[in-house]
Amino acid sequence: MSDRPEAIHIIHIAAPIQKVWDALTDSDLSPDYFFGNRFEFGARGGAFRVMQPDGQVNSQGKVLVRDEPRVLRVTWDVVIYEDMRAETPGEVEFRLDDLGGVVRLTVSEFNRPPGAERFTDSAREGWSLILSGLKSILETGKPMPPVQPEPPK
Amino acid sequence: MSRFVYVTYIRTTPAKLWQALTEPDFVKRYWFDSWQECDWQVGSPWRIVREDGSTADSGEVLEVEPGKRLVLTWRNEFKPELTAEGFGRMTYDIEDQGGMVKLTVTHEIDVENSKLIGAVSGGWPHILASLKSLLETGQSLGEQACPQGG
Repeated sequence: MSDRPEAIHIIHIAAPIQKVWDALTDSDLSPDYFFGNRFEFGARGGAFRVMQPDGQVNSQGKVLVRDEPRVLRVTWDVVIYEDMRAETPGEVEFRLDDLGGVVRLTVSEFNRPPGAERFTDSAREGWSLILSGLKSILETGKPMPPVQPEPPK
Repeated sequence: MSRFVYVTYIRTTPAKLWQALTEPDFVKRYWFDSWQECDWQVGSPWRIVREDGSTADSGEVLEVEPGKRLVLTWRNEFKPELTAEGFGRMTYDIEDQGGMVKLTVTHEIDVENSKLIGAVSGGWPHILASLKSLLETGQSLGEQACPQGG
C-alpha cells in the first residue's frame, strides 16, 4: 500500500478550523454542497457512507482515522455504479491545516486501482464542485446554485 | 510534459471574472500584493509585478477571448532553477454555468517533473481561493487573514 496520493484537491477557506470540520462531518450540512448527498462518518473503526437524496447508498467504507479537527480518513467504495464496483475501493483523506484565519482543506485520494484513470476528470470536477460549494457556504452562508455533476463515462 | 489543472466554481458572471483576472487594481487584492501588467493584446508582453516592483514571472499573450479564454506563455523570473526551465503555458478557461462560473486554470510546460509546475501547484489553489472569496464576499483571503492590515 502506497501512501503517495494519486490525486489531491485543495481549497482555502476563511473560517475557523472547527467550523470547517463541522461542515464536513455534520450529515445535515453536507447536502447543501454535495449535490444533495449526505456524508455519514462514524467513529474511528466505524462506518462511512454517502447517502443519496433518493435513499440509495452511493458509497461506503470504514473510518480509518478521525482526529478532530485535523484528519479524517476513510476507505471509499463507490457502489452506486455497477461498473465502478470493482474499480474504486480506494481511500480518501481530508486534512485541515490552520494557516491563521484561513484553513487549507486537502482532499487526497489513495490506492486508486490501475483502471481508475478514466475517472480522473470526473473526480476532479466532482471534488471541485464540492469544495467550491463548501467554501461558499462557510464564507457567505449561502449554497452555490445546485448542479448535478456528469456521471463518469 | 508536466501539467497542473485547477478547477473552481465562483458565484459571479464571466464578465466580472474576466475583469477580476485582468485589472491590476483588482488582481492586487487577491494575488497577495502582486499584479499583472499587460494590455491583453495577442503578442503583447505581460509580467507579474511584485510589491517592490520586481518581476516574478513574465511571458507573452497567445490568445485573448474576453469572458472566455486567455492563454499566456509563462516563465518564472525570480528562481534561477525555474527560469532555466524556460517558457511554459498558462490558460484560463471561463464557462458560464448559470448563476456561477467555472474557472479552469491549466499550467503546463514541456519539461518532465518540472519544478515550475511543482511550485505553481502550491500557489494557484491559494490565489484562486482568494479570488473566489473576494468576488463572493468582498474580501480576499489576504484581507481576511491579516485583519491588522499586514
